[in-house]
Amino acid sequence: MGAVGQAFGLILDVNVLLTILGSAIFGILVGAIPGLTATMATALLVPVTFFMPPVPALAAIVTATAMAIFAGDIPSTLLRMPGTPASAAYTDEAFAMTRKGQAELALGVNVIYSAVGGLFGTVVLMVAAPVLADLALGFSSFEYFWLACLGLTCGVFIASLTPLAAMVSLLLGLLVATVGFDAISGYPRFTFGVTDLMSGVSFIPAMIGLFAVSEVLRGMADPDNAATMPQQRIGNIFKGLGAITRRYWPNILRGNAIGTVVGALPGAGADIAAWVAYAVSKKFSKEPEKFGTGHVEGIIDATSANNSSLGAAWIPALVFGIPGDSITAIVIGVLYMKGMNPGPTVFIQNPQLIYAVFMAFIVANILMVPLGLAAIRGATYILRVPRRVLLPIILLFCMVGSFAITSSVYGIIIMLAAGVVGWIMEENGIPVAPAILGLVLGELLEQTFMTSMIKAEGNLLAFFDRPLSVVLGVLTILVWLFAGLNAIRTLIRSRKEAAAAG
Amino acid sequence: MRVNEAVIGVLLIVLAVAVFLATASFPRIPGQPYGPDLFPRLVGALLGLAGVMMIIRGVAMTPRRPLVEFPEWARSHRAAGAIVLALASVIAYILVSDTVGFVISAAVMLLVLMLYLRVRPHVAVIASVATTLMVEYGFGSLMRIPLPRGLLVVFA
Repeated sequence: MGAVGQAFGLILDVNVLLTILGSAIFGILVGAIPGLTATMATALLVPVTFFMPPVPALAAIVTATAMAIFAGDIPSTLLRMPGTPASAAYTDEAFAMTRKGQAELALGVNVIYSAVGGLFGTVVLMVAAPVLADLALGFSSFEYFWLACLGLTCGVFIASLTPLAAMVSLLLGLLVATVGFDAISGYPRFTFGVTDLMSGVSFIPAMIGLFAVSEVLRGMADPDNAATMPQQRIGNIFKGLGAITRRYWPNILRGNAIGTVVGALPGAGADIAAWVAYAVSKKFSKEPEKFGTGHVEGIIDATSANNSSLGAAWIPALVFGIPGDSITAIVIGVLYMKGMNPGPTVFIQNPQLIYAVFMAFIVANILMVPLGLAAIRGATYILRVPRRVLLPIILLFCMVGSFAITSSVYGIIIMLAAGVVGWIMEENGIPVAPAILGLVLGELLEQTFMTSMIKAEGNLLAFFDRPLSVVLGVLTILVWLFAGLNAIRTLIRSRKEAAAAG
Repeated sequence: MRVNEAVIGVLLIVLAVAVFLATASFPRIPGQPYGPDLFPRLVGALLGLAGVMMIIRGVAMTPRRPLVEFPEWARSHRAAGAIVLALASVIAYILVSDTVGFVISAAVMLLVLMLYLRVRPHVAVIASVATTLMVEYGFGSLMRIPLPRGLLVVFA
């Protein structure tokens, strides 16, 4: 119990609590402004947390993301503009409720079940992570290699509608991860004589570029904030919630369960959790014909799912160092910077830090109810901030943040390059999230691969020598085979369609 | 700018070839069959494979799509100009911030971008100056990030 007590002390510190409050407000603002995502909130927060001790740094990220995912529901409900992609699955449904005069109910459902979902995900994280960490202590480089493969594969084939494009993105990330000193031989690769590149492409500026600068560029092309708040007074948002909870409690449980599973899968995050939960809700509903007409049922499932996925995404991140979504991909970068290399040993060496993260999740999700209420009341003001003023300011924050990490313009150069690449990729339908996954996991994948190859002396069968590596290896290869067959089938079908059309 | 998938495929193959050429000069570890070139080559080979698949898809699925397409925003000069200006302002900041200093470069950059986006002039001036001073205080003084002082060194 010593570690838990220590964790209480760490979190119940005035500075930590103030940091949590500040990042909660920041997260709500970023989430409520359409076009700014929870991942972007994390990216912009990291340079600030860089100078903090680990506990407030991680608590800030936990809080900001939880708030942003909920706050995305506000413009989604009131303006039919999802504040973050995680709200997109049920934007139409929520706006239909607003048009029926049920905006209060929709927002009340969002804030309460988001908080419940967040707590559910936290409980699963608290139970599952230590158990898995125990198991992971017995892992060798072979298991880690397969696990990294499995994580990347999930990121490509489950988390994306276009696996080929996602694979390209992932491979580009892996390639960039090889820049700098090679971990095995110490040879500097692809540095072109640039000293700054020897320690690798600086991760945080690259991520700020990919997630924030590319978004700013897209916004600059179309800065008009057409959003006009319907002049509507928001009444009591908690009215009728009791009846809804009694009627739809199975939906709440199901949404949370789906969100947790999707969140824990590497690569798939809150937005996919919401889409899956909404689709499942419709499929098993007793009245599916009401979906899309402003029916609360699907919103309950989906808004629970996107928040519960957040906590679950930390499970693979903390235990294996494999991110569950793009937010935890950034978190892993932060953990390395703080010298808390993610993996099962963190649970033994620094258990108080892990418990402090759990508590930050609980505090953040409880705080969500009063702050969420305030944000809903203040929505008229938040949504009126013009994007044309905001975009240049965000660009400046990106630059200062990148500069802060490297203390030189090298960070800004990396940020700019990544921003342009990310923007071009998204313009061409290539998602950027897999690239971040590749960038984060590249080193782990290469190191475990090389170590395993050297141990195996080239005998590939050694990759299947241990019982756990057999399970993980066979699972990975099955997913590959399935995905390959699926790709060929799609190609043949589209070819037939093209032939029929021409 | 949207390019045909086949074009992306060709670019990926070029990149894959470049990786193989660049790794050719990597040294081997004595007595070790696997050197620092193995992993980049593996990634390069997969990139090449993905490139081939992209070409097949580009040809099979969208035979009549042009090689390069410009979406709505690029046809408007204003929107394209905004992107070019944003990129140019970051490059300008990289080049001059060390000499001119953070406060002046940042304020000018914000002002130019906001005016281009048609923010009303008095709002733009207030927002740029206020943001710059806030960042200078928050990051520069509180977090002690060595933002370049440049010309304002006399006031330091």
